[in-house]
Amino acid sequence: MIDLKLPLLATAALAVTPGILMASSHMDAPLITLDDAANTTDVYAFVTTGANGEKYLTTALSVYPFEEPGIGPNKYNFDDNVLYGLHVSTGNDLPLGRPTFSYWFEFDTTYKNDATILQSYTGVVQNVDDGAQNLTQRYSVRAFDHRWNQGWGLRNLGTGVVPPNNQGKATPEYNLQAGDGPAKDGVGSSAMLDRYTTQSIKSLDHGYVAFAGQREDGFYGDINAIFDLLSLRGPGEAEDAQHGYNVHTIVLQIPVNDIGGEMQQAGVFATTSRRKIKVNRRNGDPIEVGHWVQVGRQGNPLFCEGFIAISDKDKYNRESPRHDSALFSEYARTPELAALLNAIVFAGNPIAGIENNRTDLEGIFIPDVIKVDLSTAAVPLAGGGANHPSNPDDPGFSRLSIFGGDTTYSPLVCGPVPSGWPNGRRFGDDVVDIGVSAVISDLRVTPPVINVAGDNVDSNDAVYHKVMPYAATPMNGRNHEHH
Amino acid sequence: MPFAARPALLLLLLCACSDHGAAEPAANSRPARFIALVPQVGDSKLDRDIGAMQTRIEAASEEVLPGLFDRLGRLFIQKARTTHDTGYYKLTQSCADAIDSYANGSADAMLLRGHCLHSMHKFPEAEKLARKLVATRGDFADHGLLGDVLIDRGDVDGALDAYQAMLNVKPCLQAYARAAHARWICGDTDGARQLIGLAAAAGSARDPESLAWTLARRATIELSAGSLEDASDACSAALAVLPGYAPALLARGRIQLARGEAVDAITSLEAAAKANPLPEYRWLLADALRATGDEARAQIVEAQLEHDGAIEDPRTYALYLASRGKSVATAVDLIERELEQRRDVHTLDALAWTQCAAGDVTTASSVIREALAIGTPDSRLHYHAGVIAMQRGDMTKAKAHFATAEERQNSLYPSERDDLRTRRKSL
Repeated sequence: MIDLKLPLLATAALAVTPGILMASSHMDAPLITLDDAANTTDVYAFVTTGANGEKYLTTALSVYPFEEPGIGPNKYNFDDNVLYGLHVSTGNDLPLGRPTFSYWFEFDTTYKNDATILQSYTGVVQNVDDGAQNLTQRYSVRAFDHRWNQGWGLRNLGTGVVPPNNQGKATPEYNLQAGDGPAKDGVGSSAMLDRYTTQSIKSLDHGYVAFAGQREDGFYGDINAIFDLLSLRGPGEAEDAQHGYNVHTIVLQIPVNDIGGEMQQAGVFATTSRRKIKVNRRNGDPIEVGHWVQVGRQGNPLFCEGFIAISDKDKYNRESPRHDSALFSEYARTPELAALLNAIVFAGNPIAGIENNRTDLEGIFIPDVIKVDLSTAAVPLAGGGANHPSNPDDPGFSRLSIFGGDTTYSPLVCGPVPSGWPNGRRFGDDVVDIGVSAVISDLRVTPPVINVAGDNVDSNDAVYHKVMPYAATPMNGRNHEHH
Repeated sequence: MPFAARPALLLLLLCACSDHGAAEPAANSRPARFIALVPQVGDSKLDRDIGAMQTRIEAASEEVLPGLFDRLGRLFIQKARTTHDTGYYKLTQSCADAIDSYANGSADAMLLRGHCLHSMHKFPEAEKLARKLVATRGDFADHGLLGDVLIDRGDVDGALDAYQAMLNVKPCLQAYARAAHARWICGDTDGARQLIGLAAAAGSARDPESLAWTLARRATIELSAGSLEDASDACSAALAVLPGYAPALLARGRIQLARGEAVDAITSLEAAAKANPLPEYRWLLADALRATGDEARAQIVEAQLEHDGAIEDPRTYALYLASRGKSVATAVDLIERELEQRRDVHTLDALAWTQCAAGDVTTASSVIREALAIGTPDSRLHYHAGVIAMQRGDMTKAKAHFATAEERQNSLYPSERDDLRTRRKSL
């Protein structure tokens, strides 16, 4: 950096340059839009079975990127002014990117006592929504079947309550050592879940099950190195950019029987919407509440971040997947990421044929919904790694999904399909490595040409639950670390 | 203005760059690219972001350069807003020129130029660009720019339409905050409070300036509504997000003055004026100092204000001169030149006030009536209207305006509040 010392000559020059020194009135708000409460970080979709053998399409969406544990417990909450949506496409709607079923979550925040500065907790929370949990969020879930003539229309599925954020001593049930220690590891059975999580898993009408609350950010990857001109770091040096951060996650278990049965493929995506409000109120008009306008969406991991150009990201977030084919398929067919990998990572020895006509990637990303084969048995899930003493990964689980040999038999296709992304997406799928591997592989030919590569961040910094809500216990506000 | 606070402007001078004129793109990318990529001083996160983006641009292939220069331009705008160093707008223009050299006629380049023109108070040129953007692209930011320009041009109905279009495309902090301001301008305080709350909820600590700006604005709206507690909470939240943020410090100083905490107010306002030495800040600081009996320091601050005021913010400086009864001819001249660019409610108020100070109460009366017509709940407007009515001998109207001003006197400066009290007693 240049340290600029000011010569006297500059003083004279400044004095004769009026006009450009004028100050803005600054009534104009800034340009940048980062809307954390409506910013979907990740979407998940995978097949699970319940305690009585019922089959679910388990879906999840997370918001609030880089949610710092413990900072301002009143600050990170679901936004009452955001409509959170999970959508499922089936049948003819799937290739067209049209939602067949939509599930809407709306939140309402209340304080038991607003005459205190202790906004979130007035004592140690023993049970969800007890007297010590001052701030409580409740949610309602509505479902809509878009098949006008044959569907079940609009349903209110029920309501639920959000557990407290993990502050530390105020929320000891999440943590070891009465709140002082780190957050508890994820578990392999519902009976072993912490009390807050257990109390927040809500059975809704028509067999649905929901959870909404703070969770550990289950995504992992050396994002800093990837966006630093793909200057990837070696094993032991790579850093999980999300290490030590939380998110807010909504999980919805959808009975497969309620969406047309298991012998089909479904597509899952999530949206967030904010209200359009009438600016000009006539005298005496009430403060109006307007229609919802979509401000964010996500389907497959990496598509918006790693494929869509900056100039189109905003458009992507506002559009429905049904327009993906027309608007964004070129990003999948001609991925800039492939060109960058060839130019930077494989400089001098580029991989031929990966930069153009990627109909294989187009098949994954267009329309941008996570395609899930519903005919498989419950897929193997991640716990805390193969050797975790109390909650190991399920047998056969690989973070690399099909690239690690992790496949599941599909009665629908009468053969094996990936257990994880791009057939659904599980907590624990290493989507960075799977995505990069897919880009440098060629799935258009038979047999496919498989190249596996990655960012050298091979595991999450927390242990996932292998039962609802699957996402790991939120990091402790008073005991966590970042890189 | 201490020159050390103007690194961007100095950088431009040292580069001996020529001013292409904000609306005219450069045909050749080299000068623009060179200027935009000269390393910046500073070690804030924003400085590091700028440096990182410049590094990315140095290594990037040509097809991605327009997008990267757009992002660099937005970072420079952010830098201009946080430092109040308008030299960064020139750097933003260089980014726009660089974009045009790779993608001529780019809407992104037009938007960057539009914001620069608006921020440098070249409103007619900014309006022309904004209308072109709305007609050709119609993105939410294009409607936002048009609304901003129309507010300053005094076309409130047009601004309301533009902000509505913006909200329809993308309800977000930027849209809610602008709509809140438009509602406040139109006298809809409750509606403004609702929308500024939505704006704050849609903000992100990862973009601290936007969130701090919104919270500081919320404090000002709450202050004008008489809700000192809510105003104070909003200030604290803004300063927690962005410590030392000048608009939040200014709002805190105003709240402290409204509470009669002049000594604390001086601490806040000194920090605010140091970070952002504009006439508005210095005037209020001088008032606060005088309120505590520190006449000597008040005069020093006023001397600084009078040294830079005409250049830094002619409209506020003209108001100050008229309020003090100093150099009234200069004040009238400044505001008449301002009127060539904009005709918003506050410029009309300044015109009325300077005309009143110059003795032309007939013109002042007509202009203040125009300013008041829209219903902006600004106590200063009613204070000025009361004085003008008094000068015209219309004591009934003067009493009514003074009563309204007193109801909302939290927003008045101490000297204005004292004068209001004196005049009310005399009626």
